[in-house]
Amino acid sequence: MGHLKSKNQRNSMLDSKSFSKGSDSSKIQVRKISSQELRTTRNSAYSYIVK
Amino acid sequence: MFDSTYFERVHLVDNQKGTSENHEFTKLYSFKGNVSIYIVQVEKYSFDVYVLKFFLKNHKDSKNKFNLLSDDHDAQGVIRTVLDIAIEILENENENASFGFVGAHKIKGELEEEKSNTQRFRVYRYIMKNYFGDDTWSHFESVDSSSYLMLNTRKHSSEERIDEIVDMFKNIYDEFEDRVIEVTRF
Repeated sequence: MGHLKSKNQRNSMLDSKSFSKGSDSSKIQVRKISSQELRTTRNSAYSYIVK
Repeated sequence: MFDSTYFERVHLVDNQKGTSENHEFTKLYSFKGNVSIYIVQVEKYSFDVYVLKFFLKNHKDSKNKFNLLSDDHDAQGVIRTVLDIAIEILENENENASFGFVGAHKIKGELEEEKSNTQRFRVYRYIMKNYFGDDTWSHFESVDSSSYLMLNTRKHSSEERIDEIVDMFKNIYDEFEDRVIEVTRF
């Protein structure tokens, strides 16, 4: 837990549109998938179970 | 794909108390697939987050039970059954439920898959993107940890809960404990 960034540090990161993964292998990125990406990468042959 | 299900065979086999402040309980369900018996482990966390995992009953005593292969060639029916358990939770237990999945890296003998962007993660991501829309859910992925979260937005927008999401990931996945979590928002 000691390596986690502070809330202020996280907020400053959230201000960025995006940022690339660093070379530090200890980092994990959590990314929100945009609605546009969800729709464009979706196979229309499937039906939603829950929209 | 993913049309066949064993959901009618599912039954609850255990209900355990949570093991930490944010881990409320774990329920174990069992069902018989085409070949083998499977256990589905449903872990309920704070913020209405449910993490679903499954393994072969025969592997239940293995420390690698989530990583071992079944060789049953029954993945579609098994995965659909796990999804149906999630839907049952959503419809009959908690309409605000969010769901997380981890695509465990595979271990077969001496061979071990990389932990990031695992084959199972890529399959789960494909399923979530194609079967669950964005009217009810915000979708999050962490390729690094091969995990996927569908955040239920009926009660809160995902933007309101971004810090909670980060903390949630931190608490749920052991691997996160010593790693820096970064959130990308578009």
